[in-house]
Amino acid sequence: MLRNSFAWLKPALVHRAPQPLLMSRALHFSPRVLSGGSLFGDITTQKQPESAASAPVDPPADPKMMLPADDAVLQKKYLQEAQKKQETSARYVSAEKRRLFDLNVAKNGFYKNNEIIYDKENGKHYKLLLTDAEIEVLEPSVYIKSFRIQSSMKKATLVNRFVRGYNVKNAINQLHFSPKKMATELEKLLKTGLKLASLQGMSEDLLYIHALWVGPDGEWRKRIEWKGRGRVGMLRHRYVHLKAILKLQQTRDRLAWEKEKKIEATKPKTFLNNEPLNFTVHGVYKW
Amino acid sequence: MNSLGVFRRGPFATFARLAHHKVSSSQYPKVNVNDVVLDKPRFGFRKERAPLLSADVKEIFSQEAIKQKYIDAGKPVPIKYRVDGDKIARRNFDSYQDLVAQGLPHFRVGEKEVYLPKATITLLRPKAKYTPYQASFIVPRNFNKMDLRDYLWHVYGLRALNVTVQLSPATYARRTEDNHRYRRSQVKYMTIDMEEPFVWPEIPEESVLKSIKEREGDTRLQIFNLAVGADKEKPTGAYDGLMDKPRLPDIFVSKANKKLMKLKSSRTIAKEDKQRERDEIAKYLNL
Repeated sequence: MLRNSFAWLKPALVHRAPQPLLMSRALHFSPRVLSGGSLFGDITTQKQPESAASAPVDPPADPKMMLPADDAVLQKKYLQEAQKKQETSARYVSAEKRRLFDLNVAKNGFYKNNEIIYDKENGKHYKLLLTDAEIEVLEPSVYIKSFRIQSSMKKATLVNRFVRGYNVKNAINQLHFSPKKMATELEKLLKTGLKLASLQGMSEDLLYIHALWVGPDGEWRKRIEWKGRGRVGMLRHRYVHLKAILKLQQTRDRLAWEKEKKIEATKPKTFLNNEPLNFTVHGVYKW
Repeated sequence: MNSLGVFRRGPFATFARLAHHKVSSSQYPKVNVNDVVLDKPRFGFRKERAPLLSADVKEIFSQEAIKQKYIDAGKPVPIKYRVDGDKIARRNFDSYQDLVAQGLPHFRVGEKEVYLPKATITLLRPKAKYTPYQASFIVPRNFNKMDLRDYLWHVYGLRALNVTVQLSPATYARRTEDNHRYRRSQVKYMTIDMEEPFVWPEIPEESVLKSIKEREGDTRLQIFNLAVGADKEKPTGAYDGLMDKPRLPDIFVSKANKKLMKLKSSRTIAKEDKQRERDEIAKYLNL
């Protein structure tokens, strides 16, 4: 205790301000942040002492001591940058089309292409015809990407096929009890997807995995495997990433409706040749 | 005692080694459980000697005291105490006291005259095991104990009463460019004993926290700079999350769809809407 004791250091380190959760980590959550001091995470709620919870935390007046999360000017700048980068339907489709699309969805529960809708505001009837690309952009969706994962495409595909097309919550439930490593990684990814969806005001319960795929993450390390009899092999350390598109039930409804329409539109099957004869036919037999 | 041990010696010696030989309970060795001693003590059976006469001698000049003790006890003095080592020690001790009183160096000064010493000597913070009467330095590798003693005396007037040397091992390291292995240079440390204690001042709390923060930030920044593939977007949490920019949820737009729809500015989209409106009116008016 006499010399250079760093006993004071321990409480000082413990009381450091926690990492800001939402602003800096909007897309991904590390388990350290999620757990929030509780062993059980989201399952159980940890009761905070009331005095600590009720006391308003003012950011320090000295800008040098201010945490980046409390710096309103900086965060505003970052947010503007993020908004410039963000992919939204507004970048591709006009405001009028978006408005009519929403009207159509409000009426039918999902988008029915080429249907007549009535706009109460200006008392007009509209018929909206959108291309497949436009529909894909307009329908609410979340595009999520994982970080670099040390695994292979083969291993990831096995898990991906398991949950592809599942409701997101159901998929998380299933993956949680799978012993595969990639199941854990995918579960983490889907959980971020849920957060992002609810940020956009999408219902978590109606969310399903529209598409889910794995890709090589590049820069795979290689090592020589020394074998007997002067031979060598190549050891590859594979890295992959996961990507997924989450969509709402309304997309599924639309696809089912379109399928139904397509079946209705198909002509009945004719087993005999029903085409006109490709030679002139006279009224009498000639032989 | 092993039960089979009995049969090896007894009348059943022939059968004791047979695998399927079954011994009846009547043939079991007759041993009382209370008589069995597990883990017999392995001490207390040797001859205990009386403590040596030299054991509790605490005088500075111990040799003389021990010799006297043996003579008083009427025992032969051991050979190692028959020398006149203490005479020399007493003479050195007396001369040391004189030299200190006169303010002269307490050792034989080196003959090499150095007017501008080039050597860099770094006083280190003490290790946990050191007492306040000890100080350690990093010295050039060509330094020896006498060099340091002379240096400290002539530059600072500090009496090094004892000098010990610690030479760090030359550890292996790898070059970043070609992964070539080389050995780092050795570092020579010397520890001296001093007349008076010296205690380093405490490091200010603020600067320690600052350095910890900076170091952590640097390592995290390095992780960020070395990230490949999908990890490039991973938040590092460096400098309290200064580097972590918010990312807003994206929709998925495939490359093919991007080509179809073409990224337009909101201004262009508005312009097109207006044009479409005009065309519609022109159609009705037959212009």
